Amino acid sequence: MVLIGSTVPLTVMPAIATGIPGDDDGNDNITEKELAGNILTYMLGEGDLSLDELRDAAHVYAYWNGVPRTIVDTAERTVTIYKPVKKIVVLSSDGARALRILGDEDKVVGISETIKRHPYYFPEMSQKKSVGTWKEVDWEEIVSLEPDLLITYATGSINADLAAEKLDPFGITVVGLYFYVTDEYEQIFDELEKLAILLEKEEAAEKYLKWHDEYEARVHDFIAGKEKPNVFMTYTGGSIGKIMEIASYGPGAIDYTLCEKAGGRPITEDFSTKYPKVSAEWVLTENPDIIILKSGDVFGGWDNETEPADLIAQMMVGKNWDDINATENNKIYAVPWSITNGLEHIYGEVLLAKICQPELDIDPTEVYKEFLEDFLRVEYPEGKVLVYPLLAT
Amino acid sequence: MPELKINGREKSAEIKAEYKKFIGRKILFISSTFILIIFIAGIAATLGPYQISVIEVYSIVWHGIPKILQNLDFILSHSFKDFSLTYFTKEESIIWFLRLPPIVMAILAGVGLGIAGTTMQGVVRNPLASPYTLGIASAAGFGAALAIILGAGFATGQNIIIAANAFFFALCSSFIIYGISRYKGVSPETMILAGIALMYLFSAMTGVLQFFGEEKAVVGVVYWMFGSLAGATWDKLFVMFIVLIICIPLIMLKSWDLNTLSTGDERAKSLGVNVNRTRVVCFMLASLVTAGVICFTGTIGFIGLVAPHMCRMIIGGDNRYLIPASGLFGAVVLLSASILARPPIAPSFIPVGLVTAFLGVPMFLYLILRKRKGYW
Repeated sequence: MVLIGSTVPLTVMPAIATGIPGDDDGNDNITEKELAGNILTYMLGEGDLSLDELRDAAHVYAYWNGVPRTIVDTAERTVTIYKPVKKIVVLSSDGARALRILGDEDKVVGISETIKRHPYYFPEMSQKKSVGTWKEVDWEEIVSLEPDLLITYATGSINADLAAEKLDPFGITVVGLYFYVTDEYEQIFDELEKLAILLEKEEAAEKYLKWHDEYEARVHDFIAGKEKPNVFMTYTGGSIGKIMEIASYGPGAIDYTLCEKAGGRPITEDFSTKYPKVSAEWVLTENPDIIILKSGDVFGGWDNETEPADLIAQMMVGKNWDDINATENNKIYAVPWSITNGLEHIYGEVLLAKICQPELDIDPTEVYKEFLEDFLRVEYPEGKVLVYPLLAT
Repeated sequence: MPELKINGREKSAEIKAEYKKFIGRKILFISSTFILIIFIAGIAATLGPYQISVIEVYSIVWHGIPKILQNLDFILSHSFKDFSLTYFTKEESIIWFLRLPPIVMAILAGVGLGIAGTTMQGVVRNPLASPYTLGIASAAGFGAALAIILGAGFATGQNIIIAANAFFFALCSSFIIYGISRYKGVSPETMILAGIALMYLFSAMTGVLQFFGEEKAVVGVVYWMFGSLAGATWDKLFVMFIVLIICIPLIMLKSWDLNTLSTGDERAKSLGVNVNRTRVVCFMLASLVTAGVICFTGTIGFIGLVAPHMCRMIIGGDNRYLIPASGLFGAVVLLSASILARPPIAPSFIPVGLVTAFLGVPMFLYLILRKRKGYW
């Protein structure tokens, strides 16, 4: 007991400071007087602030009008940043892509296993320390990296509320943002703008949104007044080996919305559930002109055409869909999952629009190439199959 | 004749001595399990990227308690977070906020599930009774699924809504069993059959939600059902502690009555025990404990089934000793599992609910094979 008693003395010492550095009266507003006072004190070799903290104080005063930056994240939490973010831990590949779009990947000090598995898309980030998976993380490892900000999903196993409960005592700010669309496309833009505010990257966010909006407007203008083909959308796990209970997307589901935006008419339009299950026979009677098969286990396309061709062949087994329009016209397409929900969904929208309206004068591959090269700043991977069968340009 | 009397007295003394020895063995088992918990907790608290020795861990805990008590005013007027930021060093914060909560949760959950399992087995006089077989875990799972997939529930806030839903539906299941038992007569058979029926009903309802749910949310439900200590925080532990501290002493008060139930309803009645009331009260208390635990941890139901059996094999079926022993043994199993759930190649983790089964089943099978005769 004596040994235990002597190991850690009962001293009272603050571990981490909160608030704007140098905000002496703690009113969340650093004034010229406070800043000057702190600089003078520092020059006299007195005071508690380090040179780094003084720089932060000067930055907040000069660029933030002396007040902290605040947003409300997707978990409906008020998130406040009191000094410039220098170190970030990001737990989702969607968040990692947002950081690349904003050009702040150099600040990342910790990642999740998902990001580590994709060195092509995250060349620098994937080399950083992994702190866990989307299911479970090592909180202590995160603390040891001393980040200013943790980016995680708003809900799920490592949701923002839980992360904040764990990391608040260490002064680490948590922000809950998805960067994949769950309900409405507006959400993903809103999230990017919010992160941009926290990271002072508003211009980068604006550039991305402008690029997105231009393509969306072109698709929108082109499909206006055009006849809509009937489209059936499903995914590999929900359709392969099944003649009943085949998964699809109903009104309210994001894939359904994307299909409509791309000029198609989802054959599930009369359903009242977001994720209806249908039979092969029902699809047969609806006779879709196009079938879209999303594949969940690919990231950024396939390495060859055999794999998606096999997936389509497997999906068709036992369904008796040989006589439907989509089969007869060879309009059954396999696409990667992320095209509808992620930050590259405008590529998905253009791709679906091109499938539904082949006369559209936009090459979807070019859109994806721009997304990769201009925003993610990685080279377009030649030879990757982003849709099968390939579309005529 | 006098010789017979002497023999009789000797015999009686021998029996008493034997009984005392037997009781001593039970107390020894309970005490050693308690010490084992402290020992394993000490080991668990040293595991993590920060190098903090066992001595330092105990020291931090030792000094942390008075620090917290001295600054209770500050904590109440500000928050535990502000207290930590102001008064704790980083190492202290790591121990108090990151390492201790999962350890304490493992102990509380293990104790709660072990005791609830023993009580349920005693109430229905059936070795297969557990939160799973009586439908409580399924009901909690349905509540959690409702919150995760539809975002609907009985509270607000991402994590609270899941726990509140799981708790509410776990108790719903218990009240339905209680209602059916009241209607049909409180027999063990009625309770078990009603429990099994509810288990299937809630599983099917969860299935329906999963069937129509969005894929990521469905994965979330599956993960919740594995059982995990990852969400442990002091406010959740406080709620769990309150539930246990209220229910466990009440269960202990009924332990003698549970002993009489094991001899059969008629004999228990003849000994003056109100069989129906005992059965209902104990069942509801055990349900409350189970609900209070699994709403925060997910369905770690295995401990509730196995810890009582293991202890029964070692110390016998006297509920006065079996109930605390099962609780402490449940804590040992769950704590050990929480250490094993953290493989050397961090940061990968295995949900503790899965590890519990991998750890407990071999121990359980070993005891079954080693025991030559029936112990129930």
